[in-house]
Amino acid sequence: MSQIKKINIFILSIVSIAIRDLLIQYRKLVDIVSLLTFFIIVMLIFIFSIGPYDEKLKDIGVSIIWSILILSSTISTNKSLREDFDDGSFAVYQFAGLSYEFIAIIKIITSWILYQLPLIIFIPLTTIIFEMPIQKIYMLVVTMLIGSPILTVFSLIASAMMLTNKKNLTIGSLIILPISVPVIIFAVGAINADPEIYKAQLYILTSILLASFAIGPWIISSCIKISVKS
Amino acid sequence: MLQILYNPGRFNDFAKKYTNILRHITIYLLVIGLLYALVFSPNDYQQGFSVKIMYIHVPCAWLAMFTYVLMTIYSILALSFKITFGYIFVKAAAPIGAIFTLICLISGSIWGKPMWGTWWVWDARLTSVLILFIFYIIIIIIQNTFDDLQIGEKISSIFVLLGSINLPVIKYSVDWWNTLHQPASVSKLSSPSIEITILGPLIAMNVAMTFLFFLILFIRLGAEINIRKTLIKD
Repeated sequence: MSQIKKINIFILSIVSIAIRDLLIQYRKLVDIVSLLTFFIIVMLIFIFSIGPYDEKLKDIGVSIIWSILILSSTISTNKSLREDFDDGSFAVYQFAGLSYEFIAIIKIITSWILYQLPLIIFIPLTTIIFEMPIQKIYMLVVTMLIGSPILTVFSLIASAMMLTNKKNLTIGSLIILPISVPVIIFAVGAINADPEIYKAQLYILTSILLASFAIGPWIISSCIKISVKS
Repeated sequence: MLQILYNPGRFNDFAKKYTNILRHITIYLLVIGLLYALVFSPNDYQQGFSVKIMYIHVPCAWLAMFTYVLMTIYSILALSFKITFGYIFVKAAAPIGAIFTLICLISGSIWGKPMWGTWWVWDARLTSVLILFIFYIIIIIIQNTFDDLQIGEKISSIFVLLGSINLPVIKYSVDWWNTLHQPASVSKLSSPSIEITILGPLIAMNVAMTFLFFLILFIRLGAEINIRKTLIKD
């Protein structure tokens, strides 16, 4: 009886932490709006720097969208874990009997819903600018569904590493960009590949996703432990 | 005896005793290797004199990866077995590896201009080595950002482990992708595809540069240990 009660409390605490995160971010909806605005503005800057040549834009539209996706994942780094660390929520989580690995998994899910899902809904609308064929848009959404959780894990790793760093805020994004190079290579490769051979690249992307899910929470939790102990 | 590999005090005694001898050996080996490579080895029948860039390029590339492998091993030791010498090692070795990677990239592009016709190609081997260089730079930056020394070194060791995924990519990039960079020709010892008159000076330069690496490493490690001693006293 008590065993079932314990499990119930455990599940309840996980769900309540997730709801709390979502609520806090929902009340600060400006963050998500600023993310979308950043996306549009950087896309406009790319288009202005290339020039209004339709043929060129049709070719490199996918690469532009994917590079902005990686750039936009660097914005959300400083927010996701920093606030919880500063107001002492991590200590409270530990008193509740939750390990940091579980908190890391919850954080991955919530920050994917908050910072990547709006972009996945929003990006297919912006592809009208590039006049892409429907096949490519479909592949874009598929690669983004597989690839964006990887970016979330990476940005959480970066933000966990930079918890006690108050001076130099650019390093967080410096950490994400080089380790997300394989993601962009295989995602854009899968979209631009011939219809017969795109599957290989998708499989590699999926394997990166599974590997980052397997390793990511451990890295995040060990970084949090180092920062909390100090 | 094995304690010099992880005990800072033992290592310091060892380094004080043998650094001078190591310095002499390194100078002799470098002079022999450079003379053998630049003067006594023949020019290539296609590449001419510019084949001699190889005698700098290949040892630097080998050392760039070797340094990272050592750093990975020592970060594992430091993080999982709480051996503080690992953090000292990572801090001392990262700039050396960065410099060797930079020399490898620059000499490669100088060699590439007459041979391939371009300074730089976006092929797998070159790109992955460039990313290795960026990893080294980020490790050095992380070590210097935090106010607390211990957090900086722990987090930089975690980043070293994260970046070690790049090592097999560099090693096998010439086999996995069709690249402009030629596949490995030295390690095929059973049927080496290099003429013995070129392989000889290459191995000599490799040994000499490895000794140079260990010399610089010993000096830097000794300095780092001494800095920490003064920090503890204050």
